[in-house]
Amino acid sequence: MGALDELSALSVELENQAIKDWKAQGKKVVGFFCSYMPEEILYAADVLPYRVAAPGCTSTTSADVYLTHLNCSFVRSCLEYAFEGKYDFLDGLAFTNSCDDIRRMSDILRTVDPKRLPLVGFLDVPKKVDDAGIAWFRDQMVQFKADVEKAFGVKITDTKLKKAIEVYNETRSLLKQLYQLRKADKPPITGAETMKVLLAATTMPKDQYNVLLKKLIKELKGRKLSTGYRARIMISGGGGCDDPNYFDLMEEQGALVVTDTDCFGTRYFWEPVQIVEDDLILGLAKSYLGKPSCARMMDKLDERLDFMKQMVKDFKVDGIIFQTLVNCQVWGGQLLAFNDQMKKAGIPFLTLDREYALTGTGQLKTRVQAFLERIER
Amino acid sequence: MEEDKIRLFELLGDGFGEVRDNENLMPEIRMGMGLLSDIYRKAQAASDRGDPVAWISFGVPPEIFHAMDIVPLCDAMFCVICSLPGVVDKYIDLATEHVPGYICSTNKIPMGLALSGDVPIPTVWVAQNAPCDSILGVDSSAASYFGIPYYGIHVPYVNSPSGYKYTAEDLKRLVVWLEEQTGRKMNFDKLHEVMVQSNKAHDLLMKLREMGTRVPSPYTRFESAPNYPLATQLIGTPEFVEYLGMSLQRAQDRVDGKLPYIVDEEKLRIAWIYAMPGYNPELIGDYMRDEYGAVSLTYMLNNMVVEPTEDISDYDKIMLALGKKVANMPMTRECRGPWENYGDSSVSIVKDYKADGAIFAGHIACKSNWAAAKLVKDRIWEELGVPTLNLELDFIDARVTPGEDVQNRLIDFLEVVKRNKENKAKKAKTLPGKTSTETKKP
Repeated sequence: MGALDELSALSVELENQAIKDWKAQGKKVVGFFCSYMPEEILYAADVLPYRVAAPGCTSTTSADVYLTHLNCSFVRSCLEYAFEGKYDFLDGLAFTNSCDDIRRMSDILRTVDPKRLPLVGFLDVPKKVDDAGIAWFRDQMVQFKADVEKAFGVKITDTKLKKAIEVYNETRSLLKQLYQLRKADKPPITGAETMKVLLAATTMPKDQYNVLLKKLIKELKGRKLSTGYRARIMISGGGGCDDPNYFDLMEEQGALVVTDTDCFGTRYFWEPVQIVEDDLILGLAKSYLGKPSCARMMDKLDERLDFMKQMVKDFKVDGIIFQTLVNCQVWGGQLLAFNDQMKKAGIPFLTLDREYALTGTGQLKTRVQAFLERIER
Repeated sequence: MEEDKIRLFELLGDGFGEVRDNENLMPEIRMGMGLLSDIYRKAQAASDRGDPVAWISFGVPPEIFHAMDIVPLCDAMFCVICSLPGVVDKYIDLATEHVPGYICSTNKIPMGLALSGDVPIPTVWVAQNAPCDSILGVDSSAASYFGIPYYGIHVPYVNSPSGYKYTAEDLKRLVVWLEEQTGRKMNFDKLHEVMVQSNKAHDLLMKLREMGTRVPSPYTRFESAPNYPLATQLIGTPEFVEYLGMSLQRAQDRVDGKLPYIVDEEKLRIAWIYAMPGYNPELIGDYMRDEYGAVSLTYMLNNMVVEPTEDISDYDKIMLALGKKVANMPMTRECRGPWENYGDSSVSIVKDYKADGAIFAGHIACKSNWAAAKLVKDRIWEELGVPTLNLELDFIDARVTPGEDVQNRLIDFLEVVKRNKENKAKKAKTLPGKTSTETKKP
């Protein structure tokens, strides 16, 4: 089996084989929801960080006792799966105040069913990036580290933390290498395939992942896609875009997704974590706040726009598909500036509001087709 | 043509000015609306002169701006234009051409106003990260689009001394930034005087809250209608203190039998634990009073429980006090942080005001509040035996849930409240040792 197949297989099930193997060793798994979670702290505690998703969730009946149609369907889906016990293989959850819906999911779970998925820790990630914010986040991480140590009866030494950062930085470097391959006129991997590779990164031990990723990069160097494409697309926008079928649908219309500015993609791995020898947590705080930002960062709009424009240039992107989940106000609210700036930069820009589950595919296809007709080479 | 251009702030000034001149209305309402009139007239005049005007979001302390001679306009309070019939839709719809429909209308209105050209673009825009994501998403984006210098204040997730200090330091950086952007300087003596007025206002607001909890209530949602729009913009000024002082005196006059109560015989006491619809007041408030003898006591935005600052003797202490205040103003206090903040606040409102029923008039864009609504409702019932209505609406845009629909939901709910109150009374008679929470959950 090739590395792509191996990684793809790991991205399919909630509790994949890598997690089963990990737990068989008596080790713990903690779920989280956001790319601002400093996974290295968990990993250094020999706890597997697991980014929670709810693939295939089509009904949110139980979740909607507490949430409503006014809330984000990603969060409703995750809450539904939590209530259904589908995350019972997790030993707890760690939260950040990523957005209004995610923080409330934390509230609901710890209030309604606190024993099922114990809250390991909660990080207050600042919503602006300056020296004071970095110091604040550092203090939050110090507390989080203590919470993890207490929850699992372990000691996170500097040696372990530094090793975890190095392992994670290797992942970041390898993913960047993978993305470099996508800059080619004929990239060796589709957007849907890349999404599966990225999903595996969030649900398995990074040292094992790195081995498979190295193998994949080697294999891809001799690979050619059998089909051409009408236009090179970048996916931008908010979270919850973790369904490879969504990418498949776009690529079936003739798009080729060559890069992204998503939190499962480049915003997750684009910049390495600085190793500050005498204060590793400070390095984590600086790096996590300094990475390409989510729209929750109120003072980083210009940098977000610059990053998008740079990616368009570097990956020879013909157009951006900007997807947001319905009810995501942080990303939806940015559209006035995004549309304006992309128009001024001459970058075709399609906005798609969508639900977490892949629904309304007919309309989605029509809109993507129309966009491709406008921009195709 | 320039002469055809709408000058909305002048229209607002005229509209609220007419209320001030209406001798059929209560003095509290007349004076409050008169102050609102002055706010918008002053903002227009400052813009015409080229003086600095700041748009500020919920909870950003106006005291700083008053001390620096910068006119603060709370952007969310532009929603008061919904009191001008047929005006608000234009601005919401204009913004919705650029951002999705689910974005909060209180954020869409400033965007729509700026897009329309009907109001002058502000000199600066200052937002904070609370109470919600919509502010994060919209304000920076709109500021960028219009080329307005923008500053964001971060208020930490939970209240703590270190968090207050963190926000205080951010406010100091805001002052430096404002000096750079506007050329206006912070003057400590002026700031001190503003804080004296701010303290007086908070002291009066606490007294008015206490007054409002009496049975019957001499200070209800009706008399206090202008408070929140005024507090978000005028706190720190003597005119706001004068208005509150007059309101307190009139509430005392009701207690002393010199003035009539709004509801002579209170049959049902209702607390609104979030917003109230800003439209169709006659369908909602008047109907409740006339048909059910129900009094709307207060609402969450008016629940001002910020203690006056004890020590305003130096700059650091004032900024620390403002840092603490930012975190404890209505909306920022309830909607930010863990849901218990909202639960505590709601329980305290219902309990202190001795309410028979609570209404969560959930603004559709308030995702975090809707995600806490069930938890809050259950807690109010479990702790106080008081039923809560969760009602979905846009408190500005009547097209979402028209006044008639709101009224129908209220009728059903008030019947429930009435029955619950009767059941409690019966049980109290037959089972004197039992607590009220043992009644059947509606």
